[in-house]
Amino acid sequence: MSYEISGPPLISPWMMLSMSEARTDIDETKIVIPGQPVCDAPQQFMRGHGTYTRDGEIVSSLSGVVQQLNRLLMVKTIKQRYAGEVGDVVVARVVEVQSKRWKCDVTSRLHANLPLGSVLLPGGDFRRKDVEDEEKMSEFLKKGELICAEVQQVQHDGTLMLHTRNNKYGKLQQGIMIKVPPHLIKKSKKHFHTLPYGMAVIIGCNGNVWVTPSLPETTVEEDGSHITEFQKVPQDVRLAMIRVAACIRLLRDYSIAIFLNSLTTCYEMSQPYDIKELSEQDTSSRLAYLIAARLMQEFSSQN
Amino acid sequence: MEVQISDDEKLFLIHGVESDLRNDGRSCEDFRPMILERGVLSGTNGSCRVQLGQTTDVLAGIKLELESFDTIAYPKPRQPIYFHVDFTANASTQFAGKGGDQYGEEVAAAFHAAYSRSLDFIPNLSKTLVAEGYRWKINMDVSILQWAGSFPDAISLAVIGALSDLEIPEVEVAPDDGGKVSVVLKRPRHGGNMRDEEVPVEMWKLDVTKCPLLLTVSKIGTANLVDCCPEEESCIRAQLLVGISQNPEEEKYDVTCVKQLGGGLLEMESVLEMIELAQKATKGIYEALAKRLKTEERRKPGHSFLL
Amino acid sequence: MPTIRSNLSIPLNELSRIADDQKEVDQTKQRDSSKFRPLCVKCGVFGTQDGSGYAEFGNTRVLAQIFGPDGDGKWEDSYAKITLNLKGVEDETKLAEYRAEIISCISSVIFVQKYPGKVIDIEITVISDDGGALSTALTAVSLALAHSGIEHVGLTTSAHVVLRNDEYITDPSTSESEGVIGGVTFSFVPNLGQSTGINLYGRVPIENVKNLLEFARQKAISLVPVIHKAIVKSVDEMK
Repeated sequence: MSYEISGPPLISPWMMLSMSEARTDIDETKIVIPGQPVCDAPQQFMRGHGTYTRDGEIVSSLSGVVQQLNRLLMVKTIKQRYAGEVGDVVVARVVEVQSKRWKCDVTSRLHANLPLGSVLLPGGDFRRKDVEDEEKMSEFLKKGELICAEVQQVQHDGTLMLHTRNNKYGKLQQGIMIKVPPHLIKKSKKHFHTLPYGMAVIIGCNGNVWVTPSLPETTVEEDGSHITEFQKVPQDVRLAMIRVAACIRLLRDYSIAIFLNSLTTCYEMSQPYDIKELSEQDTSSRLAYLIAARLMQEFSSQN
Repeated sequence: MEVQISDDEKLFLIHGVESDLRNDGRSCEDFRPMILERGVLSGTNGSCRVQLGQTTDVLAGIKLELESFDTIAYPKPRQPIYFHVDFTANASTQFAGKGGDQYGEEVAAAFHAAYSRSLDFIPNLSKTLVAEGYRWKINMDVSILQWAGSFPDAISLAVIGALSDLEIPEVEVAPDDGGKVSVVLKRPRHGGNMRDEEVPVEMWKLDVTKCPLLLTVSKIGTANLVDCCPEEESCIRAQLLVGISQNPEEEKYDVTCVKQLGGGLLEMESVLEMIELAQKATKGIYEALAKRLKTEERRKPGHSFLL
Repeated sequence: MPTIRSNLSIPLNELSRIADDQKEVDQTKQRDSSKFRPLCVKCGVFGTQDGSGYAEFGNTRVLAQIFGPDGDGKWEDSYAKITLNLKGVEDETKLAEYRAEIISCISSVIFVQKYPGKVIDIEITVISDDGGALSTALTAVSLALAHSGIEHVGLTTSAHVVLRNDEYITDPSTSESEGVIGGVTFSFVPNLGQSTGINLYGRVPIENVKNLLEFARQKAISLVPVIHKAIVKSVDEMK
């Protein structure tokens, strides 16, 4: 049990990482601030998200990078709220139980809806009639609980409609949730990963990463209901989970994208250190530098 | 500010804590990495900023006031440190629905209680009584910049840091008309061309090696922990605020304050165990704090402290 | 806050008189340091429906009243909200300190889950303070709670003891508390055997903390028959 009180770090995380070659350089001319004109010939282009017209000019209303898609100009920021797309896998928290649907927080501008009809209820379809009132619904999923779902539809105002009609999705039980800025999550084919260390990870597209001893699909029984686990998670699984959670936090603090490869790389490279050392400045900055370099290396060797 | 977590997450957390393995890899007795920096506010007589784990952030500043008081109303020496705690953007629903102001008052009151014997453990504090009826009043203002659990610990570190950074001017007391005295800043006699006002005033500093630390010890399940993060705070059963002062030469500890706050019931053995844990933590933090205060270099001008 | 029509009905013979002339003279008779000061407790002071309690230890007198549970219109959470108003304490820091302690003690014993969306309002008036105001206030509140019909875990007793040199003094007055090493107000639920509030002050060497707390606990337990009797008496009177 040692304590250390240190001074403020001389180098901040982003400064350190920008010194490494791992950052893809953004073309400096394309960076705009609010109020800055976006292009030279506004008649040729169509105005997209993040811009407005003033005196015939297309002017940016956000600080970010200009993106051009044929004749459409938009300004894309880094720190945007998660905007869902159909097919995204998200990890959400139930904030309200309403009649015939649950309202969930996906860290987007609006809460997402999970209608009662889109949920795979245990016991099959004929349970639907019983569960209709709020109290019965709360027995199944109540306020504060976590679920893993897929985006079925995006409504015109941006509200997401979710569904869990699959054994892969459903209520999440024991584990650790870590919030990560959505832009660090790369869209990939698989979002559920069972790691070779004895536990599993669900990387939600909305930035919520869930570390758990086992995925929902592995706890399904024959009639479709999930076994509720109240047992204590074994010590080695717990250690692996905590190490992965610490890795995710490290990747987040140093703005490294989170996907299967970066997680496994980070995990293996963090082995010589104690888990609690990973949150200290010097250890984490050194490690982040090495991970970024290794990932760049792998990326360039693949291409 | 409460963090909402599900019952299953709480179960996982509680099981972990009971086996001495918290969700961020720490053991129950470990603190998050602490950052302490002094001299950050130029408009104050002493200041200090403490960051716990990069999220809890507190700022302490001291303003000195030369106060004249009625010696008949206050015949005995009073401790001159006054605390004010400001919870600017936070309102906690944790303590039965209070607004940020009330909460700040209660924390300040806890510090007053812990520092009520400061004349005993800061040896040269009695020098603040400059003359009959005149004393230096030390106004300690604490601002909570960010909150992610266990701010009394952060505040107590910031208070000690600010007190060690404080420089109090030396004064000369001369008798004046009507039985009163006049108090003048002492400037050492300086031969040469310098005008009186330009000669720097002599300053003295307080000896803070024995100042008490106010630590929060929480009970989750059957385990006792220090320095809880917000997820852990939503699982606690009861909390004790323990103020311990260490006498470094003799390795003796004095408890200056114990408060049971935030509801919850405790067994007697638990109370004693929690106080023991606070004592262990105090010892470790004192060593680290002494090291840091000795080795700290002043920040270069032009660098803001909010990096 | 509704105006209270008070028909304060404490019969005079239940109040012990302060002998004014005695205050000036040094007390030649040493008070037994292991006994409480002459005390008087009454459960159910006002004639109105809401809970009230009165406690007096020596010259410290505190009156407590509990209003509720009432609907607030604004508070909607699934448990009751407890608000506290403490009057009669001049020092503002002491006021904040006592308020935090009392709310903490009360919220740990009331079954707040049984009163969702309601507000429980506690009014405490310190009529005179001659040492031990916090423990007297806690006693008064627990009596008021017993009278009010709000469901709670068990009765709470509290005691205030100080350590002077090597001697423990029970329930000291302000003059007796001068120059002590430290003291504690210990609040305790006897039927659970658990403490609801500990407020230790002063500068107590860590080796003595255990004994100080033990002593306070014993003293709190010794108050149980008195409080029990007062509550039973009030139930009798209500019938």
